[in-house]
Amino acid sequence: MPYAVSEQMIEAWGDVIFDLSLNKQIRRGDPIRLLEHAAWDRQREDTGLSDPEIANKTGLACEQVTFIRNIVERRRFRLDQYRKLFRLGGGLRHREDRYQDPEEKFELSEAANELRQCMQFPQEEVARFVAAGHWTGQTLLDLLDEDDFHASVMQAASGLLAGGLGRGEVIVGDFADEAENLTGLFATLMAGGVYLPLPAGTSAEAIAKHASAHAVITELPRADATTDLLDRRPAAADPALLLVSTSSDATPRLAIHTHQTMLCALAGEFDAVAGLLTSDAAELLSTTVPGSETREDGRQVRGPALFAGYLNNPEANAARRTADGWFILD
Amino acid sequence: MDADAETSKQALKTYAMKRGAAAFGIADAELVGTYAPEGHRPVDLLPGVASVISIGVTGPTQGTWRAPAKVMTSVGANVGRIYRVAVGLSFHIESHYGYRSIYCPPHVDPEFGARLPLQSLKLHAELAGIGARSLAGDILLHPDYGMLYYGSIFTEMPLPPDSPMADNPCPAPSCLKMYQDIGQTPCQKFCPVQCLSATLDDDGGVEESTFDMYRCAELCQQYENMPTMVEKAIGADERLEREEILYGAEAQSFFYKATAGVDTNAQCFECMRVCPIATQSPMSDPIRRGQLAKEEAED
Repeated sequence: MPYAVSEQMIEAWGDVIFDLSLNKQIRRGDPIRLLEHAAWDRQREDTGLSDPEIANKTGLACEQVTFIRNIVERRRFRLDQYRKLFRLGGGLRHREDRYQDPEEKFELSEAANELRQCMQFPQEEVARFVAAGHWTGQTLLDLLDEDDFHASVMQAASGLLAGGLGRGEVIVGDFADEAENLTGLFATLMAGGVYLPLPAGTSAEAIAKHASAHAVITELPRADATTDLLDRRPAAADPALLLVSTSSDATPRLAIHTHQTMLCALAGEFDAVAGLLTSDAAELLSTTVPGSETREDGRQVRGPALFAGYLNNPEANAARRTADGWFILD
Repeated sequence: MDADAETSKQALKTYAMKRGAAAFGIADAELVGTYAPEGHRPVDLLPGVASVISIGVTGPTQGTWRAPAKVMTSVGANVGRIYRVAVGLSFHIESHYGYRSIYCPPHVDPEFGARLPLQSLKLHAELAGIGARSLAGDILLHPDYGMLYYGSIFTEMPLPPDSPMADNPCPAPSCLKMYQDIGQTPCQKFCPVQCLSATLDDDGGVEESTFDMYRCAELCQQYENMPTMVEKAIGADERLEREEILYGAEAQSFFYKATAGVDTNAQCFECMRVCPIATQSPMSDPIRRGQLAKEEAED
């Protein structure tokens, strides 16, 4: 017990000391400038007392007051507020309703965390794709124009946010209609999620369970567009799509793709997106994109459009990917 | 106080101005002691002190008000000039007039931590008549120079004291109008942690002004950054989290500053950035001051 101060003493005296200290200062009038001693004396406690003054008032030792005050300050003060300074000035004003602490921005649910940990790109490949410009900072959202489709996507994305979709969580889209499927994809991405287009004739239940999906949607949610979407803008290396390779095994094989792998396959063509959503080639979106290579007489492939790994399926990952990142064709 | 004392005061003022002070005033040390708490009176630093000399140097450049908060401390502060004037004055008084003098350090009291200053430079300047308390957490403002940086010298030399300002420039008319319209002045409205509030009468007089200093400190003092870092690191569940805490960008920046001793702390200044007195007073603008000096030289 430093200075003979117990936890109970901190609890009992903490608020009194905090309120008497300089942490809270109230001034009435302008007594010092006007040399109004009597008025100043009357409000001395409200303007904040020094530790010896607090000790004199409370009957504690001064060292005890200083110790309790500093501990209470530490416990009561909100941490990491100074990060607000990084977005102040230079034409920017603080808006509490628009501020998000950087750490909170990247808080992921357990399911979203698991998905991230299943993404495994070999470092040599990453360096090659970045150096060659196959992978860039562009996301799939950069394919959108400011048109009616964009507005529709924003409404659906806002609806997903209103429904509680967390960053990096999976939405299973069960749509027969191509336009709805496309809207579901872009809305999920805009809301910071990962989209899983359910193949026709596949049961959603087992797939959704394996992906720990936030929701299976058969209708597009709608809500007024919200600026909260700005905080959910994905990075190009974020997971974007889960494609069903096979659902017949005991453990489904769901291939994870990032914005970068998808964009490589699309070659910048928005019109090709719908084809990807129903592609049979879940793992390798294209063998023809620049940077793709084969070996073992074409039985092993790698390239910038190759998936990042299977979700929660280490057996399949071990069976279908070599240690150095080549995908073994069936 | 005799005529010699008045002459000496003017000579000291001239000395301070030549070295870069914009404002100069003197407070009676005993009077300061009636407002300051025991342990924080001038006599507690210099037994036998008779006078408190308060000097103010001009605030940021005009460009600084447009700069991001992360560089405000580096580009906005003018503490080097204070040091030059105040330390120079203390030596000057001793060597020319033979009275013991000290430069008053602007630091917190090491016995009590970050909340208590050794001395209130604000109190010295206010009683010396070179600043008045504003609604922005009692930051002193000067009607001509806006926001000044203050320094104090304690001396055993008896000098004729000045009076506090007759009028308080805060709130400015435009701020009072805003308060009457929306219930807040600009400094209160734009504070990122909402640590300021007040009730004013029709003439702008302060019925009650509240400053939640702890909220301001949360933002501005990077409160207990290193202990917090260590505490978080000890409690981290996984290696990646611990590495981010100890070796991430913020930790690197902190340890760099701590070891290199550079002043790259981010600083808020939002209450002053939106204050018309701080940013638009006639002599607060170095560009305008330069133009005036040029015109005077041409005349």
